[in-house]
Parts: sequence; C-alpha cells; structure tokens
Amino acid sequence: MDDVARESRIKSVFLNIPYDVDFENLYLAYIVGLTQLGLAINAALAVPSQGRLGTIIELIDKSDFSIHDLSRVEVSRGVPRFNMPVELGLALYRSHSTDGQHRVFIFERRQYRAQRSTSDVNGIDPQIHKGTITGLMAALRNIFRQPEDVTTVPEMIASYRAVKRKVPELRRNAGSKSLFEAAIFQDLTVAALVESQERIALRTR
Amino acid sequence: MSVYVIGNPVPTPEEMGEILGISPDRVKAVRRIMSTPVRAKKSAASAKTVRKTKRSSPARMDRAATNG
Repeated sequence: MDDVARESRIKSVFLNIPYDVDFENLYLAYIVGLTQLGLAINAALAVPSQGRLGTIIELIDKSDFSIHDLSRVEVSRGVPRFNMPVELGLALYRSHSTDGQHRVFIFERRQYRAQRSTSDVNGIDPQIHKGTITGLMAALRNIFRQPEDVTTVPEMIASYRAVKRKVPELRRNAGSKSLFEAAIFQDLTVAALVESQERIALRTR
Repeated sequence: MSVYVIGNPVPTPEEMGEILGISPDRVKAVRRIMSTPVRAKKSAASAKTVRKTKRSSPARMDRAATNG
C-alpha cells in the first residue's frame, strides 16, 4: 500500500460527532488530527443549512470516509440522542452501495458499548479513545497514515495543544460565539495545518 | 483493522483555504495568530511568591518597627 502513487485530489472524511460544549476538546482534536493526516473534513456545521438531512447525505456522498463518534448517544434531557446512529446508517448504506469504496469508521469512548448500543454493526471494530486526546490521536493513527508517516501521535498532540492555546484569539478573529460554527471551524482547520508545517519544519531542520 | 494510507500529500494551509473557500487574507490572518507567542499566565505559585514578598517588603517592616 505504501507504493500507491501520490494522488492529487485531497481525500475527505465526513465527520459525525456531537456538537456540544462537553465535546469541544475532542472536536478540536478531530480537526487537528485529521487535517494533519492529510484529510479534508466535511462537517454539517460548515455548510449553510438548507435542510439538514439533505446536507448530510450530500456530504457523505462526496466523502471518501466517514467517522461516527458514538460516545454520546446516551439519554440527554430524557431523550436518547439518535442523530449519530442515524448518520451512521446513512454512511453504511453509502458504503454498501459503493461496494465498500466509502469506508466507515466508528469511534467510541467505552469498550464494547457500541456492540451493545448498535449491535447491527458488530462487524466493524470501533476505535476506543476513552474520551482522551491521546486516545483519539492514537485511534486516528490506527486507521490513517501518510506513506512517509508525515506525522506522529506526539506531534499531533503537540499541535492540538498549540491550536487550543490560540482558540480564544481564533474565535475572536472569526467572530464566533461557539466553536461549532462554520467560520471558526474553517480557521481551526487552517490553524492545524500551519502548526503541522511548523512541526515538520522542526523535525527536518 | 487495516491502516488506510492516504494517497494525497498533506495540503498546505493555503491549499486548504482554497478547498474551504476562504480568502488568502483570512489564511494569512490565521498564520499571523498562530505565529504570535502566547502571553504566559501568572502561575498560582508565582502569585503566592509576589504576595509573600509584599508582606515582608522593607517598607512594611520599617513601618512595623516605627509603630512598635
């Protein structure tokens, strides 16, 4: 697989995660980790909403991969959170209809919970991040890498910390009240790549 | 589970800016923010040291000596 000719089109991943304050750190870690691995992220929050379901289907259609984080499917204010499993179902259908060209990955905080909560996907081994940044970066590196191993988990964590330190300023610059808005999402993606270039420059100096 | 090797090189911030449809100026602004050093916060320990120093400042000690 290492001999694969370098492709010019940038591969993209549909990111299906909970958009809530308690998930902010992992959300940031997903952005930093995935962009440093060379992927563009397609997320519903980055698209002006013209019917959420239609947007999600379009994003899955144009993505090469999808990541579904099922860490927060528990009951919230008396109601189970079904959005993530619904989007997982859409991506699984996409994968089925493209003969596996669209690859689906499941991420979870707790071991064996996905097998119980969503037993239909027992054939897919979930990546367990335990709710930690290190766990998430290691899980991303378990499934993706660059041919020359451009980035390492410690570098990804260092970049995450560097971008996190700049979040207040980046948020002010983007005029975003929350991290789950299009403008700040785009700026965080660019910031992650600026940091990634720095890390690579440091390593090759 | 097999590792998927990403075939494309890691994009530059400018390339990603194009993909995201954001202006080169905005990419420059993000670059500027990322290159500015973060101002160090005062740690609790150093704040404590400052307070301790204040309490035992020579001026206070002089005043204490005069009052006594």
